[in-house]
Amino acid sequence: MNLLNEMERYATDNNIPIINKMSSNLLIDAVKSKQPKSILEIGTAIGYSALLMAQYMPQDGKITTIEQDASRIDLAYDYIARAGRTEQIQLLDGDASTILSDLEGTFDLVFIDAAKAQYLDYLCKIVDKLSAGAVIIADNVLFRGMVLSEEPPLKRYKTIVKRLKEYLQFVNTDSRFTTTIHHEGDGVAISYYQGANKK
Amino acid sequence: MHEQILIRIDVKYINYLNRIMEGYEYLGVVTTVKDQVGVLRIRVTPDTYKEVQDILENLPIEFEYVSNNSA
Ligand SMILES: C[S@@+](CC[C@H](N)C(=O)[O-])C[C@H]1O[C@@H](n2cnc3c(N)ncnc32)[C@H](O)[C@@H]1O
Repeated sequence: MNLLNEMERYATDNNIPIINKMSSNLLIDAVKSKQPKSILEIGTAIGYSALLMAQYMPQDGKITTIEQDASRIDLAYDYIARAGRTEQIQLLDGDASTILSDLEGTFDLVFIDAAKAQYLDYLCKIVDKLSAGAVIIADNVLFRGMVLSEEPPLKRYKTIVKRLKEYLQFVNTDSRFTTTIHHEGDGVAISYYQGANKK
Repeated sequence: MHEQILIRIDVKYINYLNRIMEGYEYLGVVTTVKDQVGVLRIRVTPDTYKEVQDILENLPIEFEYVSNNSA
């Protein structure tokens, strides 16, 4: 069994949320076509999507990935080491909302897959760190159909649905971004950053 | 401005609380507080503060609020 299959099995057995097949196909396509030298991932879990992206990025590509759950960080370290990718994947331990503001460098591709109520906050914190033409991929933006539904969302998800709508509204209307929303899986928004001078 | 809730719980419930917040799609983001055993910081925003507090208060585990100054 290869490592990614083993991770899928581990995630299923231990209820760890990792990217689904349909979203991962979109993610792989984006990495293949963009060939990003620097990737930022928000929400590592056990490192599955980071290792998946690593397979398709250029050889000298680097990934910075952020996770706040201590037990998942330990697992991610192990898997990344087993994949022989410790030089290419830097794992940052902590709350993305705090870490993002302190990040250095620029990113060609960003994969947002952490707290859904914070997507817009994450994007605003990194917008000055995007290279021109950068791709931003946000997973689960349609959130089990609730974001586009006419029905009011379940009470426990009200805030999340409201915030995801705000994220989509932003990436669809701000002139610096061109966005396509893919309805596959749980909804994936793929936005292209046109550069700061578009504002 | 309500940006965090600090609580003290038995360490055996830390993972449980993490999973509960995950069930709420990380409406509150739980991190441990360095050097304070059993003290958790739950990062919220002004509009999720009340909701997260309600979730906590309806959990079947005991916890106590910790004031900002003591953590
Ligand atoms: C859906 S999982 C990530 C899955 C991963 N991208 C994959 O497909 O393999 C979301 C992760 O984000 C983490 N997370 C949630 N809020 C976070 C935050 N504010 N900072 C850092 N990590 C966060 C959670 O602990 C969880 O492991």
